[in-house]
Amino acid sequence: MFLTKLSLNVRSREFRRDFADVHDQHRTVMSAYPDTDGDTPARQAHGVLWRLDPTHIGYTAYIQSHTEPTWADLARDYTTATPEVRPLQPVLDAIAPGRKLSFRLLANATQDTRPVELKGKTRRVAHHKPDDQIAWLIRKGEQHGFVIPTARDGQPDVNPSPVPRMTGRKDNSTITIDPVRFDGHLIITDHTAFTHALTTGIGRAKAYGCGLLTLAPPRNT
Amino acid sequence: MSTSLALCFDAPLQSWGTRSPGTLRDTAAEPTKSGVVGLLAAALGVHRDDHDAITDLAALTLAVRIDREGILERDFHTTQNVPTTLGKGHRTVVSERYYLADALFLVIVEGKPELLRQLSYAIDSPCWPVFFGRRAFVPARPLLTRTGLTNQPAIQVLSTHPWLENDPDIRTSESDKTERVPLRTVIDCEAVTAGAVLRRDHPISFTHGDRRHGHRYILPGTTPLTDPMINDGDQVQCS
Repeated sequence: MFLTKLSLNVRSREFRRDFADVHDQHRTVMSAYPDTDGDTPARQAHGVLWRLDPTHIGYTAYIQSHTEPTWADLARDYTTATPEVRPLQPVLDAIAPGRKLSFRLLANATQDTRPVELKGKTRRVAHHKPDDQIAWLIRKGEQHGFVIPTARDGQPDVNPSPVPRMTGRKDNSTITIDPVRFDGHLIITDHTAFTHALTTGIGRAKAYGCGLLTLAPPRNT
Repeated sequence: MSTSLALCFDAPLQSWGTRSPGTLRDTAAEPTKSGVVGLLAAALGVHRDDHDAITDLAALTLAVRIDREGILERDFHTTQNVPTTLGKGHRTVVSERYYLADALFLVIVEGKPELLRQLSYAIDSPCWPVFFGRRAFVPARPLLTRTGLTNQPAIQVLSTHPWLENDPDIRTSESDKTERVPLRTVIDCEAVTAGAVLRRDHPISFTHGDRRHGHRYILPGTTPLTDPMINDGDQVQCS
């Protein structure tokens, strides 16, 4: 497993094109990986997950994958520094049940609705209320082998923050994603399930910058 | 023969909202028709209630070329001491506002020559101040480009007009490239056109308390950024 950090140049025309269209951003990320043959989509085959994090002067992209990426084909002025690639093995080795970690996750927290008039057809809508978003994350934690601890105020130790809507176009259809960013702490309960979640991502829209779980030592409380 | 008027929309911040007022004020990635019509009406001195004049302006064909994509900025905005509707006490209103930072657009309107000539004079000496979506977002350079009023259809102006980018570093790095990112375009089109997208920003009424919008169809596309477009643009100076 590899993790890349790209310090993006907001003045680059290539970056601005990608910023305006999440599908172009996906294609730029995937350009670092070789083509695959077979039925599995290339993103899934290489286990690619990415996220765009705003910083005080621009944006940073984090990209995780099974395959080692080659960023040589990136436009010359796409980044302000050389791409940093490092192995993710130390993080995977650190996974142990009971361990508390601080995390960040940009997720497409959605639910399926089944209105009467649509008769069995479900429509996927994003959770917009913070309480619903936290409930979604806690439910995902049950599936993926982690729990959200309780903070001093008695509430779950996680902060959902709104993220601007991401849009894009693919084959004449529009992509619209309303993600939510979770910052907080988690406690690992299941080694296998958690490793799986870390390597394959959480929730939907993984091609479009959602589902990458990044971990760090917990903040002192 | 068709006549077009080319305008440059450049400002540190712009905001082109498409959804109804509320606590979430979004912005589209390019100028909306209601926003452009509102700006032209302000330049002409057309009143909000003057439906005929607004209908005439809204009938113009709008074409936009995105010369520089904007970066989306979110502003967590609070207004304190807002009187409650009952007039007893005050409350704090919280809203989220989205802006486009450093965006640059080539906006072209096509239509009747008399109206466009009138508009080009009005843009030069506007009746009321013109701004990009919010009163504070004033233009960073003159709106009339060197091309200004031409006897070309809007679609031709889109693909030939000099690039408006005025940052020397970006211009140099772009002219050195062999493969360039094409410029994104958005043009008014018929509903039956293949690939047409619906937008709900066709202004019908700007009257206070009775703002109404209809729908229109746009065709998203791209136009290549050619060497002449980059080189001619060097002469575009702020006058």
